[in-house]
Amino acid sequence: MRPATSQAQPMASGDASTAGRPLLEVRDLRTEYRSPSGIVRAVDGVSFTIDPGEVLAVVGESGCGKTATALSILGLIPRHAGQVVGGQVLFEGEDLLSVRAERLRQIRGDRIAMIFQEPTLDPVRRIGDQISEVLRAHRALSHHDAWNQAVEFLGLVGIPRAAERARDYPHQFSGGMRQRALIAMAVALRPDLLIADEPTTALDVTIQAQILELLLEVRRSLGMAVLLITHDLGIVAGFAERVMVMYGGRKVEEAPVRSLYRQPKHPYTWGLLGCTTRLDGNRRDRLPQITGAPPSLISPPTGCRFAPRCPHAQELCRASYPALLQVGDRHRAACHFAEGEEWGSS
Amino acid sequence: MSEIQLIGSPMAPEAEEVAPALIGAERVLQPLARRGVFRRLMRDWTARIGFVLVVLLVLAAVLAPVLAPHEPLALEGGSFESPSWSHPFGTDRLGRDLFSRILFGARLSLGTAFFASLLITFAAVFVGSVTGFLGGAIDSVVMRVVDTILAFPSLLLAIVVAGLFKPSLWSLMLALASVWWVGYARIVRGLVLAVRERQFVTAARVAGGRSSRILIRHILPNVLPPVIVLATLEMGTLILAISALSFLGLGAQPPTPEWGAMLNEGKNHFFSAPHLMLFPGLAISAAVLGFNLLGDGLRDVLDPKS
Repeated sequence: MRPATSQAQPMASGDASTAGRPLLEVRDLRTEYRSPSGIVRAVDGVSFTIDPGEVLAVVGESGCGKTATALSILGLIPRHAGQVVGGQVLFEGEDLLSVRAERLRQIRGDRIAMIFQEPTLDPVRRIGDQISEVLRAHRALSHHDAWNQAVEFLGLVGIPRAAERARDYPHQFSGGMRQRALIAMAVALRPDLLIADEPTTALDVTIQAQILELLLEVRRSLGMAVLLITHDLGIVAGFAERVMVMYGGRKVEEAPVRSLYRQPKHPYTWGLLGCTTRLDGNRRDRLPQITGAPPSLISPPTGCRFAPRCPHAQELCRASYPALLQVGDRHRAACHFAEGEEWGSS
Repeated sequence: MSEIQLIGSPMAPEAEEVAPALIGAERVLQPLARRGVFRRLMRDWTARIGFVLVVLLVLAAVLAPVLAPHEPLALEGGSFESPSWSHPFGTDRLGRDLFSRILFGARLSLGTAFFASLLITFAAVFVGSVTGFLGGAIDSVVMRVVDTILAFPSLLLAIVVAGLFKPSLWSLMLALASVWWVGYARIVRGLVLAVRERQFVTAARVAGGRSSRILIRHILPNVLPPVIVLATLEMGTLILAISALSFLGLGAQPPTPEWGAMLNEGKNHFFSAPHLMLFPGLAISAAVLGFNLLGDGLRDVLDPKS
């Protein structure tokens, strides 16, 4: 357990011992799921880091390993479904894949919190109780104090009349309010890292903006790092500092937000960006799309996994998997033709 | 939202009033209370009949010493008297008042069925939730045992188990419970498996909840409503089973005023004194009907989709 005094410091500043060290470092993570038709390599050698206070967005289509990556970090791959088969997840230097179960439990919720796509709470327990429970799982608090803090946090995430609404059950909350309550629950212990798995996908468009705004605000005031998983490049630009693009269980591009939007180096990234609707585009044009479907992760294509769908694929692409190449300042891409080519111009 | 606000804890005045009320609140009953179960149950006329029948029977059992005009075991009237003002249900071969015996019989039938149901529910919830939650080898082994017991007709197996002991209501109750819990354990396990996969359970894990706590605080409350429905429906079946086995002489022994045993005593005089079988039979029917209607009503009301 971290000493109580350190909680008051915003984590972004860091102290001397952690200066320069990433908060989370994932090395060569490999996760497999079992399926009736074979082993699915959901995460296939993914590495990345998150610095204290940093927002990293992970983007990609459904089934490219984004959620599997997040679940692997927290040791949440259900035993009957699959397992992490390799790699390291270093949280402040501690490998979460090899720590004891009790240590992992202490880290979950307290240091690393997660919110999910579906705003799901336990239907038979009061909202306030559910938040109190998280607090009491990690802090020696009386029921009374935990309840009061829960009410306070509900108020901070914008639930009106929080003291009253804390006694409500989840079905009395709207989807947007439930997601607010879940954010309150996630940040109540002031975690250093918040993993947000498509936090706005299940919500109405108008609510989406509010929830994002709330997440931004919470992050600003608590200074925590965020791993934002999304397939919506529209929300990435306003939120994240760096972006990691995943395809077929692998990282294909990684860059600061600006350079990714200005100079996408991987054709897949270019395709994703092309798919975002532009209001100033020609209305008669069909909406652009990436044709085809993501590759099967049971028997992925040899060579570049995007080659079958890539408009620029060459023989080389089908023959060998491209290494991640440095293509700019903190900008790396896994494409044989990443250097020199400007996909946007084709 | 500022940093200072988040650290400090200026308690809202309302918050202080809210919390004490919650401490010690009966968590298990929260899911029932919140849905206005009773009010909605009473909207359904069949459930209302079931509820009234059950309440009448419970009152009869509780108030038997007050309501009964005679001692259930006292030989007070003539033999085989037909129903009259002094003996509303008539008298039996030994001149005992049948009405009083049926009132006292309600205590035995309902009481035995209730405790058997309680035993069964506890055993099933314990076994079902542990196996469903943990899975793995424990689950496989226990479920094979359950399958084995399920392979036999439960009433026959109960007769075998009851036959091992000196016949009494206690041994009958234990025999029924030891056989009946398996079906339930399977159902509870299935419910637990379904709830275990729901996202709020993952969320509780992400939040650092201990497994034991997740099971008790999140999973059990969510499987409770169907378990209550099952237990209610099973009360009817158990009352019937208790009466049947007592009728066969495996349960209550004469002169105990148990309904099944009373049927047995009356069967030799059916043509001359049909009231000896009619009234215990009606009592059993009313009890079974009452619990079934109430259980059906509860099922509709507690269905999460309603």
